[in-house]
Formats: sequence, C-alpha cells, structure tokens
Amino acid sequence: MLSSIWEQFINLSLIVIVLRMLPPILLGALGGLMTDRAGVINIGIEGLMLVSAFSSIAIGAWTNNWFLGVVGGTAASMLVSYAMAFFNLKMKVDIIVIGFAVNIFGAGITVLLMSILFGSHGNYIPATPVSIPAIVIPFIDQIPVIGKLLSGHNLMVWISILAVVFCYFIIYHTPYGFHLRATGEEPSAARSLGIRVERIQYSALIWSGFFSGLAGAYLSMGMTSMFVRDMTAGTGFLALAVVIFGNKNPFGILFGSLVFALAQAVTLVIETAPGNAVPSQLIKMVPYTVTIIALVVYALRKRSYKKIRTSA
Amino acid sequence: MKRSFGKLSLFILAITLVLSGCGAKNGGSKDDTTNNKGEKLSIGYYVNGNLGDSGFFDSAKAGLDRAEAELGVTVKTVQGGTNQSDWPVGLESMVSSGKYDAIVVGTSQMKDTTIDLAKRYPKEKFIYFDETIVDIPNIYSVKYDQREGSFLAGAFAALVTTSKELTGANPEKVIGFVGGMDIPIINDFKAGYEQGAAFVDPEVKVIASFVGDFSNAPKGKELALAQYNSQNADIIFNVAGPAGIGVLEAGKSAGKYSIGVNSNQNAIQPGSVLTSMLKNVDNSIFRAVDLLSKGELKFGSNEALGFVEGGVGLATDDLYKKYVPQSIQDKIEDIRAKLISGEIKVK
Repeated sequence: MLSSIWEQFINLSLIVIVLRMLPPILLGALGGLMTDRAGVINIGIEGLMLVSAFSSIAIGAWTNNWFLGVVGGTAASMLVSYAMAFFNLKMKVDIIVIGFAVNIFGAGITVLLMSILFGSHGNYIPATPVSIPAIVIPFIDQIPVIGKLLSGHNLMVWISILAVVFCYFIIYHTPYGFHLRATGEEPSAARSLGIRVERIQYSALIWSGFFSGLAGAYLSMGMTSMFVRDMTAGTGFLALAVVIFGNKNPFGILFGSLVFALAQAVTLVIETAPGNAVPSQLIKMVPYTVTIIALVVYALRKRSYKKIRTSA
Repeated sequence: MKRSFGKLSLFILAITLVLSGCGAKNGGSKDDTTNNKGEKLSIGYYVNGNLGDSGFFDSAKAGLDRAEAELGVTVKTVQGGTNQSDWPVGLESMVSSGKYDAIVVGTSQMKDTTIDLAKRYPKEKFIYFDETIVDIPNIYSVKYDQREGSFLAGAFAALVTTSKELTGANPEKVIGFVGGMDIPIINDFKAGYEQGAAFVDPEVKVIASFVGDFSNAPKGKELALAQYNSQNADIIFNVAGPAGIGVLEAGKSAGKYSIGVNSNQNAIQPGSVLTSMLKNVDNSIFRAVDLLSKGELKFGSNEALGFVEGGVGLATDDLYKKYVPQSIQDKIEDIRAKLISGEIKVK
C-alpha cells in the first residue's frame, strides 16, 4: 500500500490529483476570506457553490458554451450573496442565520429547479457535455516531468491560483483592501474615520459570491460534467476551516488548501490500492484528522508566538 | 429565562398530548374506513431519503405510479430528506394519520423503526421492500437477492477484463467496485460481485472503494479515475446511487467500462456502461399492491426475489446487444441458466 502511494507520488499522478481537487476548496476559502476580513463571515459558501454549480451547467448546456455557463453560474451566486448582504446590512438579520438559510436555500432551490426544468430530482446530465477546457501548453507538455506538472490542467486550476495573488494584492496593496481590513478589525473605528463600512461589507459579501460561484462552476463543469443534488458534500465548510487554518492570509490559504487536497488525494490512493486492509471508515477519517492536527499546530504556534511577545 | 423555559416545556407537553390524542383517535376511526366499502385503495409511500436516485427509490415510485394508473389506487409520496433523525417521526406521522390502507417503505435503515411502529399501530399495514421481516402480522416484506444479481455482474466484469475483443480492456486482470458506504447491504453487492468474478477466473483481483455517502459525484469520479488509471482496472461496478453517476462518467472519460446498478443505466454513457444490475423493485411493489387490492397479500411473511422470480437480473437491452461481444453474451446466458437451475450456489 505504501509502495503504491510512493509510486503514484513518483509518477506525479498524485500531484495531478491534488491539483484537480484544489480549486473548489481554494476558491471557496478565498470567498470566505474576503468576508472574514470585512467582519461579516459568510458561512453560506456551501449554498452559494451549489447555486452556481447548478446554474452554470444549466446555462452552459442551454447555450452550449462553457464560458457563458461560468458567467451565468457566478452571476447567480453573486445575486444570492447580494441578497445576503441586503438582509444583513439593511434588514439587520444576523449573518450566521443568513448563512444557514443560504445553505438550506441552495440545497432546496437547485433540486426544485432541476425537477421543474429537467424533470429529475436527483441528477442532471446534459445530453452534450459542456466542460471548462483543460489547458495544454504546447512544447512544454512534451517535456517528461515538467509537462505533466504544468500542462493539461483544467483552466480553473490556474484561475484559482491567480485568484490567490489577486486577493493578496487587493487586500494588502490597495486602499480598498486597507479599508476592508479596518472594517473587519473594528467597524466603529473605521466608521469614525469616514470609511463607508456598509459599502465595504456589501462588496465583501459579493466577492464571496464571486469566488464561490467559480468554485461551483468547476464542480459541475470541471471535475464532472453533471449536476447531482448536494454535490458540494461539505466542500464549503471545509473551505471555512481552511480560512482559519490559513491564518486569514491568501497564501496561507493556498497552503491550507493544498494540505486538504493532499489529504483527500491520499485518501483516494489508499482506498483504491489493491489488497488494502485498512477499513474504509478509518480512511474516511483522514481529512478530519488532518483538520484537527492542523488546528492543534496552529494553536501551538500561536501560543509560542504569544510567549515570545510577553517575555520580550 | 427559567420561567420561560418552564412555559415552553409546558407548551410542548400540551402539544404532544393533543397530537398523541389525535393519533389515537384517528387510529380508532380507521376501523370504519375499510376498503371493502369499494373506496379507492389509498397507499402511502415514505421515502427515507429523496427521489431522484435513479435507482431504488425511483424504481419503487415507478411501480406505484403504474399501480396508480392501472389499478386505480391513490398514492401519496412523502420524501423524508437526508436527515436520518427525521425519518422515524416522518413515518410515524404518516402511520398515525390512519389515512392509508398500506404504507410502502423500504431499505435496511428503516427496519427497526418500522417494526416498532408496526407493533404500536397493529391496525396499520406495511409493505416493506429490500429487507427480511418475518413474524410481524401487519408487515409484508420483499427482499431482492442482490448477491445473485451481483454474482452475474462480477462474472460479467471478469469476462470483460479477460476479453480480447473489447478495445478498452487491458491485459491486467483487475476489476473495480465503487460502493456508496461501507454498510452491510453494499457489502452484500460486493460479496456477490467478488464470487462471480472468482467463478470465471480465480486470478481476477477486485479493488473496492467507498465514496462515504451517496451524493458526492465528484468523489465517485475521482475514485473511479484512480482505479482506472493507477490500478489498471478496466471495468467498475458502481453501487453508489447518485454518486455512482460520477463513476460512470469516469468510465467514459477514461475510455474504459462500467456497470450500472438498480435500474437500467446503460443509456447514461452508451458504449461505456455495458450493462446494469437490475433490482426490479417496481415490479415487486406493483405486484404487492395488486395482491393487496385483491386481498391476497400475505402479511407477516417475506418473499425473496432472485433470478427465478425476476427480482434481479442484468439489463440486456439493445445497447447491451450492440456493445457487448457475442461470446460474452453467450457465457453470461450460460451462467444465468446455471444460477436459475441451482447448479451455481451463491454464498
């Protein structure tokens, strides 16, 4: 079994799997990050992803164009997140409650629309599959190792990694990002300095809709080309854990997402290894065990950091 | 705070009393509305999950729809959702309403709840599918011999992996199995599948993986891709409900083969899904309702439907005839005959 993992590590297929698992977690976490930094933590990522997963493939199949699918799915997700912002900031509903509502809404509306539009309660597979294309880089894909590492990945893999850089730039190198962070730290102080707190929070929630939308589109048109009810299966919640684990920093989140994607990939490899004697329930624990270990490491690091500060 | 809590609990107590009162009353009035009056037979179907699994629950629904059209019964379907703790309450509220001449419910997960309710509401009748329940006078149960069906699926997979005619089959004698969860009923499929494969060729290795739930299609696809690409499996049997659709898609994208489950899934990825192991839930439910309307259904007993009774089988439609080589078709027919005659016994 160990040799099987090692073998797949050597021939790079493990890394290919990791990169395939990465975008939904990473994009979802970036969406969570923007809201977290603005002090309106959005726990509805899961619901937003589902809304986008369904609308993107429905629109994509209807127009027979993956790009319009992605745009449509992302727009639907942003619309829902705009509604979230409206209820939170105008109607003063608690953001956690709204997040819950969106998760339930996402699970419900997708199945409802699927049964109305396609007459199915469980899954929708378009007759002609639409999918986000994979990027094959000419020449480089001929080089043995580098070719497999860089070429042939889904477009969304690259977008998700670019999104990390984009978020980093926005948060740390623009006045808008400065206002965003100030709002998250202490809204009343930010307001006293003339920052339009509510407008910032509106935008942060819509950002989360944007990133969750991309993540959802990838689920239904990148990883698979179908929609299955509740197909997010907890990815949105995993993304929220990654936000904390990544120390609310875009690059920390990239690292955290890689750790989780690796945990999932290793789970896959172990489970499909021939003569695997490990009970499947135990293997299923791996991602959660990784979460706990990660949080313990994080807490220890934080404590030793505090110690240094207080002793100094 | 404390006082309001007291009030709340009093309120809940009051509601419970009222509701339980209703239940008892309705249960009592059930005696008058017998179906001998010539009224339409009323059937309740409780789905412990959701429709749209393109398997099991949909199949039972299809049987009931047919009964509604052909026998003129009225059917009320209630979907319980994925929260398991809602199921006992949901079923009980259907049972205690007393509106139904029989309640259709199934799967291994509902067995204990149903036995408990049958004892507490002895006047209600239950039609239970996919599990054996005996000696409860108001439950009729029907079970499908998925082991027998999976045996044939396993034999089929072994024939495919050793085939030289199929272009997607590689020389390695490895076949795959992707289950939804590691639970007894899924392992029943797996056991039959392994035996069937070993019957054809003892050297065939079976790789088994579990998705962990029945809805995570991306994970189903990833597991299947790992089996196809890393372990050289050339055919995978999916027993994972909607998550299994991901397995079928992986088969298509890898240029390999797969086997559908429960209902005929051959058309989902034509040419890649070579056949499906059928569980004819619809026929059996239709038959049960038909017998019930004639007053001939034997409550308190169980029926196990295997090949002989047409409870399980392989989907041999036009797509099967088109894509499966004749030599394999002949061998499968041969094994099927042996299973029916009892020459092969599935353990």
